[in-house]
Amino acid sequence: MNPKINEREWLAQQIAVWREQAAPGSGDIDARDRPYRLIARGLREPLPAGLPANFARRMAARAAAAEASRFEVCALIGLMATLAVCAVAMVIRFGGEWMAGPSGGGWPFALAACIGASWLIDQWKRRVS
Amino acid sequence: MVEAVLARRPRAFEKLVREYQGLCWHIVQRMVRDPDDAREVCQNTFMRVYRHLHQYRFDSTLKTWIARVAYTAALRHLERKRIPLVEAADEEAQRVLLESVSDDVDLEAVCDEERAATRLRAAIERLAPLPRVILTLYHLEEIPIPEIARITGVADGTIKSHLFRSRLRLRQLLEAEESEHEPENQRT
Repeated sequence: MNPKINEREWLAQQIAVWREQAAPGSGDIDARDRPYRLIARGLREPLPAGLPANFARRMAARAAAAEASRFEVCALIGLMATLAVCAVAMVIRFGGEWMAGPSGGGWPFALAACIGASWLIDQWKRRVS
Repeated sequence: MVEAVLARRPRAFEKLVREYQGLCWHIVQRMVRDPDDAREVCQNTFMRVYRHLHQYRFDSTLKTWIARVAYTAALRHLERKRIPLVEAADEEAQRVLLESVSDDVDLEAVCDEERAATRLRAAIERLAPLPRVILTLYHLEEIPIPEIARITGVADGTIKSHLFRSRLRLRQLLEAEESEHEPENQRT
């Protein structure tokens, strides 16, 4: 038994709960039971409804929308992954030809020049704004 | 029902929500109190249920599992709002409370039932969120103490202690208010 609980009072509380469950709202109550019977009765009263009548339908619609949006995100990730795999495959397949092509290995320099130009334009835009 | 929702069968989730929205509202409303916040927490609860239902392992009833999701959502809300879950325990105050309740006060004899019910509702509102929700789960939802322990993550003994102290306090509050009105009742 929990030392913080007074055994006699706990028993009185529980007896009131059991009697109230067995005969809810019964008028014929032992005087000693009355305070806790009244409390047990009050605690069994349902709370006023606070959710709208169409709450379940609205939740189902919201879940369906979330499901559709999750599908879109999955599809986007899938497409990005496919694109990345294709890009890697292209580099592996044709990378050697690009390096040994007519420009003679100028691709890495062209790529570096593109990245550098983009970075410089971005810096210039930031300064202007 | 769980399989139907996981299989995304039409109306299965709506049926689940309809079956457990009362339980969810009882838990969340008792903890959060503000109706708008409580409605929002209920919505978050069912969205979490929908997203995480595949994690339900059938090791407890679905009612207990959903109640735990609702309790956790309400708990997070209270933490965000910095609302304490319980009042500081005071054993001396409890001893005084125990001594102050009388064996011979007849509540129904001194007041009508409707007035006592109104006072009781006000007294319940004055309790801290954790004892309030424990009382609701035990009395209104008729969930046994070990299941309440699983829902709240609080030990069985502590649940029992909260039940005992809260009911004692409710009795004391009702008796104190009634004794204040007793001379008035006797005059009439």
